[in-house]
Amino acid sequence: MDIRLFSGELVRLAAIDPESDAEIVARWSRDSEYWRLISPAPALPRTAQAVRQNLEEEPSPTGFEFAIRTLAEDRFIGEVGLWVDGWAHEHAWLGIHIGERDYWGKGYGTDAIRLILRYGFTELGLRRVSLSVLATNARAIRAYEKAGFVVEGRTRHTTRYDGRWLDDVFMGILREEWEVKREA
Amino acid sequence: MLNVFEYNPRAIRSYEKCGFVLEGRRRQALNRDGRRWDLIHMGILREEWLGGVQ
Repeated sequence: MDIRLFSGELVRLAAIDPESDAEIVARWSRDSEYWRLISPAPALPRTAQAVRQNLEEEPSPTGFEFAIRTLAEDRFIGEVGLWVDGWAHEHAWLGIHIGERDYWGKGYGTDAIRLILRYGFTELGLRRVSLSVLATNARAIRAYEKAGFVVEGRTRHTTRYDGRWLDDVFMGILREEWEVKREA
Repeated sequence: MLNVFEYNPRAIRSYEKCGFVLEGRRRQALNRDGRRWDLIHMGILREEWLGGVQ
């Protein structure tokens, strides 16, 4: 039985601590490129107080959200979660972001994706995990593919930045595919 | 953008007649009657709709 549910090669999944983490999330919110990558909502810097209030709210019973912390320095670098889309369908949506730029493109996100997939398939008993990502976010798409996600289609013209339309790519991984990937 | 269940071909045909285009499918996203089914994504852009209306 695999008991190392929360730690991978580079990162571990931890509880989000509103007290110490809000300041850091607020700092990420001042990075407009970060906004462009994670959300179609208009970029808007947030105060630590607003983030803290948000983090202190009662968590949704279908959301499983974690802080991503590095194993080496125990540094809070991002967040990852699964949101179950009706338990009856054994299906959930994945969301992840690495807010600390120093940790972009170095395998930290990939490690966190592998951990959350293991959590979803073993702990939550899922059969499928879905996600959608901006087609321009090549770094994220590559990380999802490394973890075993397959491109399933694209929703055209979902987002408009600087007068230009962008597509969303949607991806998915089935439990059988994940099992093959895990044994490889 | 709309989602339609794989087991509802009547709806899919009707969306196609209205100009919706198949954009992809979320494989095995649903449990129904002991098996898994795909969720089909369709979309229509304003230009496509304007072209179709003439």
